[in-house]
Order: sequence, then C-alpha cells, then structure tokens
Amino acid sequence: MPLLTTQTGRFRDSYVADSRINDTGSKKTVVLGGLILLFLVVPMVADDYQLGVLNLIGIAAVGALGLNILVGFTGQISLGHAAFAAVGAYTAANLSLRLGLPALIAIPAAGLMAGAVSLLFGVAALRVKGLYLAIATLAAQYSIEWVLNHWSFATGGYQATLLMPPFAIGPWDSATTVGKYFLIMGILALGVLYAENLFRSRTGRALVAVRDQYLAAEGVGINVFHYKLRAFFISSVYAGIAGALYGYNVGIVTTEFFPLVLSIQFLAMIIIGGLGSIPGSILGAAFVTLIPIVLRDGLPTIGISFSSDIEVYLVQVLFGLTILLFLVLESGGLYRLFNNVRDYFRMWPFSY
Amino acid sequence: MPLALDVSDLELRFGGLTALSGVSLQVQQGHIASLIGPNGAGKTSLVNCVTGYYRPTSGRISCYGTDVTGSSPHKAVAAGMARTYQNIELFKGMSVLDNLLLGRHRHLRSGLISGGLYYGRARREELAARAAVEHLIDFLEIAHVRRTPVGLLPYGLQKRVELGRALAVEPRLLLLDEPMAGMNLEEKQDMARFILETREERGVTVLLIEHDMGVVMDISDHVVALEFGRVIGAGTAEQVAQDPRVIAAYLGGQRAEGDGETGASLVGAPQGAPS
Ligand SMILES: Nc1ncnc2c1ncn2[C@@H]1O[C@H](COP(=O)(O)OP(=O)(O)OP(=O)(O)O)[C@@H](O)[C@H]1O
Ligand SMILES: [Mg+2]
Repeated sequence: MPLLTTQTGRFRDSYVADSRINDTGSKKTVVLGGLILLFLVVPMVADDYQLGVLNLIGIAAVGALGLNILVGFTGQISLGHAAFAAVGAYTAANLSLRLGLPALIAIPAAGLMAGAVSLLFGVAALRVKGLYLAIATLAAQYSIEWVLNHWSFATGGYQATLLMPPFAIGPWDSATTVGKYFLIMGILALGVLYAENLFRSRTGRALVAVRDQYLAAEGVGINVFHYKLRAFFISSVYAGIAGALYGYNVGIVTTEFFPLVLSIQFLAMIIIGGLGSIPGSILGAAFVTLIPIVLRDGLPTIGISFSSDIEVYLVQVLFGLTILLFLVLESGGLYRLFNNVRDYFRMWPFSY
Repeated sequence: MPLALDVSDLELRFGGLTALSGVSLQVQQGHIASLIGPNGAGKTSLVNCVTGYYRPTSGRISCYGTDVTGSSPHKAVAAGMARTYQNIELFKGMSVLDNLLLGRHRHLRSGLISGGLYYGRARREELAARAAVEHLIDFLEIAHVRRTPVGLLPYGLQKRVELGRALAVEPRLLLLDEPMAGMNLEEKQDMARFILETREERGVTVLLIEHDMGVVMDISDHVVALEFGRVIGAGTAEQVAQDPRVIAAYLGGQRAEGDGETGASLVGAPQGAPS
C-alpha cells in the first residue's frame, strides 16, 4: 500500500505539500470537478429513477468502504457486516420512532451503536485469524439476526416491519428522492474524507502494518489486537450508518434486509472494486448494485427480458463470475483496471 | 544506574527441546554487547524472549529496571526496546518512508478521531514525524530510495531500512539480529559505522547478534557466548575470544591461532569493520 506515492515527474518541495491528499493540481481539479458533478449537476439533470439508483449505490458504497477498511486495509475478514448494518438500521428506527430524534442525531448514533455491538463480538473474534475469524464473524451475523428476530420490543419480532419516520434536514427531505440523495451523498463524501485522512496518519498506517506484517507491527509498538478492534469498530460504524440510511431511504426496516447474503455482497463489492482502495469501494458498490438493476430495468428496454426466477439466478451467476474474474485476472479490482486503462491513454501512443 | 538489560536464569523450552537454560547476562548502559554462538545456540531465541516474542519458561528479564518478563512485543517497545530481525521483517509493499514512519508510531498520538480529521495536532505531528524520518534517511544514506517499496530493494539496503525503522522508534536498547549477515565487506563496514555512530550520537545501548568475529572484536564492549542454550563465556572481546570453551564450541577443539585465511580463527578474523 503505497501511502505517499505520486506520478513520477511531479515533485513536491515540502512535507506539507507531500502529505496533502490532493497531492497534484490535476487531482485537486478532479476532486473539485467530482464534487460539483455530484452535488450540483447530477441533482439537476437526473430524474427521480436515476437518483434512486444513485441513492442505492451511495448507501452500498458507505457500507463497502467500511468493510474495505477492515478487510482490504487491515487484512481481517468479516462475514457479519450486514448484521452490523441491521443494528444501525434498528437503532435509527428506534431513536426516531420512540424518542423522536432527528436523523442528524439518529444516523451517527446508529453508527456508534453498531460499532459498540461489533466490539462485543470483536473482543472474542479478533483473537483468531483467517478461517476461524470468518466463522466467528459468521456467528456474529447469525446471533445478531436471531436477537433481532426475537427482540420484539426493538424490532417488532420475527418478520415484522418498522415504519421509518421521515426526516427533514433543512432543505433535505426524505419525501423527495433528491432530498435523500443529498443526505446519502453528503454522508458518503464525509466517509471518504475520513478514510482518506485516516490512511495518511498514524492510525491508518498502523492498520496497514497489521495487515502486511503483524509481527513487525508489534515490533514497532503497535498493539495489534487493539488495532484490529479499532478497524472492526470503524468498519461497523460505516455499516451501521449505511443500515440507517437504507432504512430512511426505503422508509421501512425489516430483518430481511440484512441477511448473510448481504454480508457476502459487501465482500463482493470490495473484491470487485479493489481491496484496500477507497475509490475501489465505490466502484465495486456501484457494480454490484447495478447488476440486478440492469437485468431488471435495463435489458428490457433493449428488448431482452427474463422471467423473475431466472433473473435471480442470473444475478448470482454474474456475481460469481465477476468475483472469479477479478480474483484470477485483476486482483486489484476495478480501480486498478481503471488506472491501467488511464495510464494506457496517458502514455499513448507509446503505450507499451 | 540500572542495567540496560538484565537477564537472569532464563529458561525456554519448546516441548522437549530446551532452547535456553540458566541464561544470565547483563548489558551496561551505553555498551555495544555482542551475542555469539554457533547455529542453533539460542541467540535469536534469547532476543525473542527479551523482546516479548517468546514467553520464557522461567527466569527474569528487565530493561532499564522495568520487568518485561513474559510481556508482549509492543510492551517491550514501550519499555524502550527496538529490534531488527534475522530474516528481515519489513512492510514489504510500503515505501521506505512509510516503513520508517511506522517506526515513529509510539511517538505520535493521533487516533480514530483526530487522525480522521487530520487537522491541528494530528497534522502537525505527522509533519514532525516526517522531518524526523528524513533525518534518519540522510543518516543511513538511503535518500535515493525513499519512495521505493522496500520489497524491491536489494538485501543490503533492506537491512539498512530495517535498522532505520528500529532507530525511528528511538529505543534506549537496540537489539540487532545478524544485521550484517549476507553482506559484502563494504556493506558490513557501513553497517558497523551506523551502529557505532548510533551509540555515539544517540547514546543507544546495543545488543548485537553477529557471526563475523572480526566485526564483533572491533565494535563490542562486551561479548557473551552461547552454546546449546547455555552461556559458555562472557567478558571483553579478547577474553571471550581466548576462552577455551568458546574456541572449542566454534572450532570443535581446534586452537584459536589456527588458519586465518579460512576464517577459523576467532581473533583477528579477516573481514571486518574499520578499526
Ligand atoms: N518457535 C520455535 N519452535 C521450536 N523450536 C524453536 C523455535 N525457535 C527456536 N527453536 C529452536 O531453538 C534452538 C535455538 O534456535 P535459535 O534460532 O535461537 O538459534 P540461533 O542461535 O539464533 O541460531 P542461528 O545462528 O542459526 O540464527 C534451535 O534448536 C531451534 O530449532
Ligand atoms: Mg538466529
């Protein structure tokens, strides 16, 4: 994980310049352009359907980014990400239903609650590695699901549905798709900024060290277990926030939203997008979110359509295939692929 | 004045195998002490016990008066130690800069909140760490590779980066496990110079594991010889080199004044550091 690299031929003359996120003028322009596109252009030109799709991608990206911090950057596997999203969704639902708290409080609280619950499991699970950790987090997924299905006070019980109250934050209003769009994209932008900062400072560096060489990490004074816990906590905060956003977005919360399959889809997003890559998390989230949407809504417009049971099959086959393809052919994911293509054109016509 | 390192009656067993037995040794503050002994003598095991990687079966270890027996590696660092490894354990995918910045870990404070905001102190301390690391990079003469992923560097430079990472920790006791293994004469001389200068400029106490007796003779204030997990001799370099048990351990009974060209002699071995 090169934390401080840039293209050759561009030199910085101070450490300050060297430590900036937007280390080159062109990158700064790209980021600025991206923000203008995201917050000004898109909301003006996109219709409700398109904004709705972007909302789903944005929510998935928040969750995927969190999982990537744990899996891609810190090297710890988790199969329980969806369960922590569920904790967040129910926390937000209960806080706003019972206490009437506004979304701006309920959403961070959802993140913190998911993070806190994850620590309960993490204290035990993160003492083991690899396959054992996978099984331990699987246990977290199932036990949280079980609790949510049986804890009627908080969830209404098995297969019950909670109605999520609407929110209004200034001009952002959950009654409109664009209102939700601003909330979701605003939070995603903050999530990206936080992660970018984290990984150019002490904590993020330590997390990557834990992934790369945990014995040597201990040898420079990093308490590896504590840092694994921290990664688990942050990743679950993102999951919890994503879960809360999902609830606000669709207006209801039910345990069926957060099955094991969703945990696996989050993993698929970061594998396809690029392990240990922040932009990759977003690309992967977009890809995985779009597969079923394209099959259901996109292909029929060009005259191809499937019956719904075949469609479900196809989605799964496509997931499997893309994950396999990326694992075998481009383990850096979509983000690396994107960079390779960009470099190809930058060097063109001398692209060898 | 407490000892930099005080090991007493250390025993380490792996199942039936006794790797260390009744090992006691002291390292004075400001000394360069060398640990010698044939392959499998238990040198690395001893350093692993001291730095918290192995938990000794019995015995006591203290560093500058702090008991560190059976602690963990990050606690050994907190007690003032830093080390290098016989089989280089760098963060291979990271640049030289990042490896050294990781050495600064315990000198930085930013956490989940301040680090994520990267504002105020978090930002200032990152820049200060960067300055400290650049200083080390100059000292070790590795400025030309500062952005190279360390996995791509030649072996000799990797060893140097690993020394740099340990120095970035700013230890009071530096433990070096064969820092010159596999190096040519020139590289060994550089490394010996870095070790000596580190001691002079930073007042760091050094415990050095080294097979090259020339280097050991040249730079050590104190030498401890191990064989089969036991201390078989300790004293100044000259004393240990003339100790019949040490000579026997190395040469299987041959006399010390043997053939210098094959490197068989313990005294005045051919290769070595500048005197
Ligand atoms: N983790 C371990 N498990 C089992 N046996 C071990 C372990 N570590 C070391 N040993 C054994 O302890 C003995 C001492 O090994 P150690 O690595 O400390 O020797 P050394 O003096 O460093 O040798 P060398 O000069 O080859 O590096 C050897 O017999 C080794 O096989
Ligand atoms: Mg050894």
